[in-house]
Amino acid sequence: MNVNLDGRILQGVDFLHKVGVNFKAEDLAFFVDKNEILYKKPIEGIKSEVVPTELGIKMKTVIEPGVKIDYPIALCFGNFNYGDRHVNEQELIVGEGAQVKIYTFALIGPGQSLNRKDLVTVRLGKKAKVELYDIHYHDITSDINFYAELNAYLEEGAYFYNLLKVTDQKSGKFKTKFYGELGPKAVAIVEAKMKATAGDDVVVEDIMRLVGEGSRGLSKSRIIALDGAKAEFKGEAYGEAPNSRCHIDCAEVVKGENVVLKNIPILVSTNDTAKLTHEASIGKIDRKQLETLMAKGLTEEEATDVVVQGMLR
Amino acid sequence: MGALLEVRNLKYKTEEDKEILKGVNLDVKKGEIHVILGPNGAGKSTLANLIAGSGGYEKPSEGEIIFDGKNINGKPLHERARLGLTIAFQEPARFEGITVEEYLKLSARNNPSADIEACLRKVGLEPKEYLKRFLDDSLSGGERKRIELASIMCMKPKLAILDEIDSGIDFVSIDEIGNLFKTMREEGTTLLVITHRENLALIADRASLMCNGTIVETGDPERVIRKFEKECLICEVHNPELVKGLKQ
Repeated sequence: MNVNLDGRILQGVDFLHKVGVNFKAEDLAFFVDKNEILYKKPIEGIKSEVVPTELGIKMKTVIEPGVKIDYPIALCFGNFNYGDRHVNEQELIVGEGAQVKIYTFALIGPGQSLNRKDLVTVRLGKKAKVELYDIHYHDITSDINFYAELNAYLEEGAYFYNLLKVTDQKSGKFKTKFYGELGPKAVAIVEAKMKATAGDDVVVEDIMRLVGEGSRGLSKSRIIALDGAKAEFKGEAYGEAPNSRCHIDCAEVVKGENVVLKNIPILVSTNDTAKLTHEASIGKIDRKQLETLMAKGLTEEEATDVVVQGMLR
Repeated sequence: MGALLEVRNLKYKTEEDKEILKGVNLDVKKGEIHVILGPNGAGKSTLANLIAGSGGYEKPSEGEIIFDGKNINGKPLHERARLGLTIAFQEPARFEGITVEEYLKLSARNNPSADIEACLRKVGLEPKEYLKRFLDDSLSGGERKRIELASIMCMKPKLAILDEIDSGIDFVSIDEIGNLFKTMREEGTTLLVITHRENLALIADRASLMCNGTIVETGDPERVIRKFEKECLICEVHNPELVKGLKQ
């Protein structure tokens, strides 16, 4: 495809390559700089409407029933007007039996300041399948104030997977909230992998409402908090339907001093056949893991890095 | 063959002044398979940790540990590993996000000639099935231990301490473990095997019997096993229930 690409897209793609993501500019389906749509590629089976707003964009995407897209769709959101407030509103409607895998990238370069809010709603029809990867790169010198809200509504037998990954350099002030409403036999898996460095304040909140019989939820978070960081995880599961299951699993690992961590699981069952479980840990890296690696000749520092990189992978 | 490891009058007391090791003397010769046999609570794992520098046991209360001619008392675990002394723990750790291949490559980082696929095959695991798997809870206890043995083969240390390596592992027979240990020895690794199972001592060149914080016998494995069966299995200290039953 011969596309006349804006310099900002090339800059964004160059950034992606630097952090190890090998999408080509031509592979991107959508690129927006705050409220300016730089590039939008038509994809068969997908109807997309994008409206610029004062502070960002409002986007509605519909994937028609039965449409199966067998390659990942990449959406890229940047903001080259540093420091501006930025709001993205997105609605994704996935028809019965449709399947799609979407990558969204948020790129915040050196010295950039970002004040952004993402409000995303995903509606999955019967047996629809969506994988949504939300990957952030925040340069260590950037100033981040980010709020991301993702609401997912799953009809019978639908499958939803979401990964939020902010592991490259810093998170900044980052609050993310997931709300999932799971119909009969629907499955939702939500993962967050975050790295919080000095001055960062990370809040991850997952809420799973199991309203359909036999629905399944998994909320899994891995947060590494370095010197002077704050991190909080709150996981809530509501077992309202017969034979529904949900597991909340959060590990917050400390490396350094003056770290503040909170971990709050809430399990509420209103149906006696629902089963809700949680597993939470806060603390330093397991000594046995370090020693198993140190017995191979790695220093404690090297062993710590291996364990941390593995957890955030 | 000279001693690769010399343990001299090794004593260890806990902070509560409980004496765990009461003057252990032990020589492990270069190229041998040496089994330390003893009941639970005899002090075997404390001795293994003091030799390796693991589990917070870097320094004994008294005594010396000489490895390859160097006094290694007080040296941290990773420095001992770099000298060629390693330990395979009774329960090796599991790791999220680290594949078997990456773990074996880390183990082999000072042994560029290591063939990680061959090491996996030697412990009975097919590389195609295992290299890309994560070293996490998806592996059984036996698989994890086999991978630990493969990692030691990749590392090719001078001395490997194998702490209760046979527990929880689904080896077909004692011969399979014996052959594996012999392969490791042929590749240049001396083995110090810690166990409470007397049949494992049969594969040793020499064995030592440990009881109540000391080595009470060293030498021919069959003789050590006989002493273990005769004295340790009916010891009131380590098997009080059994002895009580026998008396009744």
